[in-house]
This record gives sequence, structure tokens and C-alpha cells, in this order.
Amino acid sequence: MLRSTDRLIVHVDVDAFFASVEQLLVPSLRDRPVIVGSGCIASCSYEARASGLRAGMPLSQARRLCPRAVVLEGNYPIYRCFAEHVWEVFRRYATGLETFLDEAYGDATGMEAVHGSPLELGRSLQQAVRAEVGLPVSVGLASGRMMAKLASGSAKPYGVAWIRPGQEADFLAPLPVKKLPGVGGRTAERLHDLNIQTIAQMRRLTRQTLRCMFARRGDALYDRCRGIPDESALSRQAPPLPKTISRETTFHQPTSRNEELRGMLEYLTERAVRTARGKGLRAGTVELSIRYDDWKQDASAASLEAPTDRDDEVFALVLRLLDRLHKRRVALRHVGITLSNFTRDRGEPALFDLPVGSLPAGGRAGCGLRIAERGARNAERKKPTDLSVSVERQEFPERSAPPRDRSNLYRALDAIRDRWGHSAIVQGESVNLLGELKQNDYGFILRTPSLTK
Amino acid sequence: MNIEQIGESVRVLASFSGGSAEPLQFEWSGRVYPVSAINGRWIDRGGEGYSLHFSVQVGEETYFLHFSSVQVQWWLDQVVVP
Repeated sequence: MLRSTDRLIVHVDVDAFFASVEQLLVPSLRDRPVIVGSGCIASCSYEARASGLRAGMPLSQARRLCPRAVVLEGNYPIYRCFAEHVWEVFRRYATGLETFLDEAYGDATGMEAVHGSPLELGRSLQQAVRAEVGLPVSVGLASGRMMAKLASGSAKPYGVAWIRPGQEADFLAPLPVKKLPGVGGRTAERLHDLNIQTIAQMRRLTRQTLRCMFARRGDALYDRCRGIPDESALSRQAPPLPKTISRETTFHQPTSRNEELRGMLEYLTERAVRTARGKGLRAGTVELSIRYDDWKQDASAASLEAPTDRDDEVFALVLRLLDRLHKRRVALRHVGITLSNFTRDRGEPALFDLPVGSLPAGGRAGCGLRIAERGARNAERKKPTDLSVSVERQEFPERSAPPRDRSNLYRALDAIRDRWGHSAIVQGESVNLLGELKQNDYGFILRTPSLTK
Repeated sequence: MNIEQIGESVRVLASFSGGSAEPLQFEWSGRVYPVSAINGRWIDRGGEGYSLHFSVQVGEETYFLHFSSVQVQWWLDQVVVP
């Protein structure tokens, strides 16, 4: 029985999302193993999973394991439209939705008067999505976000599970430690070294022990393995700052053409920075990652002294990182941009964004921007080496518009794109991609679009 | 399975009612194709106006159609032959 004061968090996960959309739209694919992805599996149907296929598996291996599987490159703009439709239905059942590409959280506290018990709510939501969108979803309900996600995971495929308040610890007890959010491969290995296999066994460790083993994460793991709800989830306060915003893609054909590389990097930069601006964030750190045609990869990050939400500032840094990273005479197959170290844009002009006249005489001279860069040769995932580089910002000619106007320009571009689609304007070196890549209203159609949000 | 990209405008007989649309048959290259089932539908609201997309079944074959609200025009996007 749920008391009216008990929180009820709902987690909805679309089962085998991309593959399910393909099977919905093309009936001849139903009941067949379907893989969506290029290079590796982005999503596969449950028929494919029965042959041992999993997301992230290289396609070559997948074909060996399941030769009769149908492999599709996928159509990500369509998947996005379907996801929006699913969340539209979800909004009738819960408030404060936090959506990702194929899963979403919502708060259904106090909804029992409208939708009945939590299990009835979950089933009703599941049936509504099936009837109106045509896709199978699994629904998890619990008093906290983490438990709701574990509940939906336990109910897959096409199930509904409710973890009643007070039963969180019992639900968790028999699960392997790897099921606990925050426990990855290496953490699990360290726990296995102590002969700790299940979450019940993990509870025998004191908070102090977990702190010693995993530093600050130890506290979170101590609470999580006891099913203590994450109070920050879906609180009514401002959402926490995202850790990263990334945009990455694999080229249709590996390339070393400078204009294509720079065009793609500018395009990824503008997409990532536009997302940050949309959230009212300024990025403090930019990371560029590249993967060569022989699968060796490399990454480097640089932190600006002044956080920014301007495409040109971020792109200038990306180009410097590219110069630093791309040293081998091997074509690139994959590039990615990651923004991090965010601060909120409070609408206050930075000191150097003030109009020229408002600065004391000579105030603009020598306003160098110090950038601390760290390079990470991560072909073998080495720890980044700290390097300190000083990069001088070019002085603006006296007659040029002050930088604040450039920020306004980007906001105007965002407004145009919000209304007419991202493709309404192609800027900077992204024009190099025109004719090379197809476009739709969302922008260039990339081979593997970023699935992060 | 064979997927053929088409991208041609087509004439469609459709029912518009209660805020939704349903293609009933379409004419392509002088031939009429009666729709036996609608497999799925989605709305693309990106950019100017919106597009109503449909996957429809004609016998064993699957056809992807869309209606552009800006052009007030139906398009045949692709055909999937099993």
C-alpha cells in the first residue's frame, strides 16, 4: 500500500528502442533478429539477443554469432520523433520528466487518485504507449530514481515492476554488485577480490571501508547498496549541472582531408555549444577525441580560463587540439567534442565582454587568455599528462564589434534554428560538408549521431 | 530485404479527421496502390511546419510516405521489399 506522502518515481525504458522502431515500421522484420548500428551494435532486437548479441558488440562478431541477422544503419531522426511521442504519453502520467533518448524519469507522487495503484499506473502507461505509439516499454516504479531504473530493468522486456517502500533493501540483496549504479567493471573487480559477489555481501562493508576503497564514491555506494533513495533525483530545485555535453560521429569513409575534418569539427562544436547555450551553460573545458582508421585513438583537453558559450571560442580551441593530436599520417574514422566544467550563464558580462569604452585606457591591451591544457594519449588510456600552455587571444581591432555582440549573434542563430531547423543556417567551415552529407531539418545526417543528450 | 529510396511526390487519397490523417491509397507511376495497413506513424516537427510520416503496407511490400504541411504535398520516400 502506498501512503499519499510516499514519493513515486517512474522510469520508462523503451525495449530495444531502435530495433523495435524498425520492426514496427517494417512488418517483415518482426520476429527476426535485427541489428541497428554501423561498426558496432547500437541496438538489437530480443531475437538477436537470444544469439548472444549485445549493444556495443562489433558488427563483425555479431555477424559471426548470428549470420541471419538483418543489419540496418538506422535512422536517428525517426527514432527521436518516436521518443518524443512516447514522452508525450508519459507526461499524462507524471510530472517533471527528465528524458534521454530511450528512457525517461518522471514523478508520479500523488497520482493514485487518477491512475490507481502504482502497478495499475505502470500498466496503463505501458498500454497507452503500445496503443498510441506502437512501441513496447518497460516501466519501473519506486520511491527513488535509482530503484525505479533497477525495477524497469528487472521487468524487461515489456514488463512493469514496483518496488514497494521499505522493500528496496530486499530487492537489491540477491543482485550481483555490477547491477548497482556506479559499480563498473573495475569497481566490481575490486569487490570480487574481497569475495563480494552480491549487494547483500557488499552491505557488510562499513562506510569507512568503502570510502577507503573508492574515495568519495564510497559514500554513495554505501547508501545505494542499502536502497537509500537519491534525494537529488527529481527534486524541485534547479537541475544539477551536467558533467559533459558531447557530440561525436564516425565518418562515412575514413578521411584525412583537412577541410572535411575541420568542417565536421566545426559542425560538432556548434551542435554541442548550442546545446550548452540552450541550457544556460558556459563550458570551461573542451576535449577533442579522435580515432584513426587503425582504431588507435587519442584525446586531449584544454580548459579556458573564462567559461564560454560561443562557438568561435570553442572551435578555435578545438583546432589547436587537433593540431596537437593529429600527428600520424593515418586517416581518421571518428571524431568527438566534449564540453565540461560548466558554469551557469547568469547573464552577467565577463570583464572582457564589456564595451570598449567602458574599459580603462589600455584595459584591452594584453588581455591574454591563459589556457591550461592537458593532453591524454589514451590509445592505452594513460593518465593525462599535465601541460601548461599559454595562448594569447588576438586583440580586437578598435572598430570591431565587442565580443558580447557575437554572443547575441549566436543567440539569434539559435532562435532562427529553433524555428526553421538547424539546417536553416550552415556556418563557418561546416559549409565544407555541404554536398558531402545529406541534410534534414535537424542538420547533417551523420553516420553515427551522438546519442547523448 | 531490399530497400529502395524513392523521393518522389505522389497523389494520395487520405482521410483527415480529428487531428489525424490516414492514407487510404496512393498513385505512383500511373499505378494505384491500396493501403492494407498502417504499420506506424510519426510526426516530424523539426524546422518549418511539420511532416506526417507513415509506414504503410501494400501486400508484402512496405512503403514510407510523408505529408509536408508546408508544401501541402505527399511524398513517397522509400519502398521495402522483403
